[in-house]
Amino acid sequence: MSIQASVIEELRSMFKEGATPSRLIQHIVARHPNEGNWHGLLQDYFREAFAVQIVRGLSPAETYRDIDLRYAYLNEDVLHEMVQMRSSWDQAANDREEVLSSWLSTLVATSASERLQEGKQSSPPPDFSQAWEQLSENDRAGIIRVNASYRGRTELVHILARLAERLQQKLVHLEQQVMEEHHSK
Amino acid sequence: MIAAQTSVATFRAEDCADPDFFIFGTVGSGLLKFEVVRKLPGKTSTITGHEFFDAMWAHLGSKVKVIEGSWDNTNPQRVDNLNRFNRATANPKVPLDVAALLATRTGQWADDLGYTKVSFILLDPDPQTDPKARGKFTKVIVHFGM
Repeated sequence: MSIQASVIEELRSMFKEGATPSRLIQHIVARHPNEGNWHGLLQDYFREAFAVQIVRGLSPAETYRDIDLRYAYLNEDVLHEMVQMRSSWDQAANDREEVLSSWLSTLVATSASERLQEGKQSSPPPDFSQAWEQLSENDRAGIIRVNASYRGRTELVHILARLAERLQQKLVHLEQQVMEEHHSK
Repeated sequence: MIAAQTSVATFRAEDCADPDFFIFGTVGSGLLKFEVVRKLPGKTSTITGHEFFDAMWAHLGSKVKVIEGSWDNTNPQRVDNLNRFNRATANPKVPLDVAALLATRTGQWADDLGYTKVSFILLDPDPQTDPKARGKFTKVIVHFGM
């Protein structure tokens, strides 16, 4: 089992065009038709291509040829981490003159640990500034955790909103192609 | 018993008798994330989860500062830890950190190694905002440190 540099580039390019994690999995499988151990291969590719530490929940016995809605969960944590780690795998993310039309541009994604740490280090949430010192350590930790979680969910909503619009763009383009082909017959 | 392929920061081992059963772990910045599968519909590995974990620990343990438990209900075949956590936290007298450490497999393995400091990174729903959250968690991320 060995990953290929050319496939890594294909995956990055597909993702930047709007491919979802499940579509990327399909592509990996298609490019390694004789591989039996998909699970290890998928982990290696997501780590090398997108710096994703682990993709949880994949079924080892699965062939991944027919990806369906049960893989929607990949559009939560995995997608979020791919965007979070973008500066480490996409040169364009570090380029100030990046084309703003990319669905990935302007997106912000942080890790859960990072958000929690920031919450601990910053001043108390405005609504709690008066009562903060009177709260128990557990309650304070809980409030910081809830705020961090809310921020993570907000980041994910923005990511999904941009991706949905990118996919709609692609759909419109395909519909136009079909119409043109229909009229030319 | 276990066939292993390893690299510096990752570890993967399979059950030689059935490669559908495996452990996969990876360490980044001292944080260990892993997934172990030893039960699938209609079959169970003869290798215990603890044996899988020990094999991984022998390879990665020296690099680990924090062990992560990440449990959710997205894959119905991987809900053992979440179910254990929910059963324990349904009892309002059981503190959440005690439930994570002593009622779940990951927590027990972390406890055995002295990683007993529990930090919840994410709880969904969160009992801070939902008084009925206990016993009904759908997603938990917890860190076990020293």
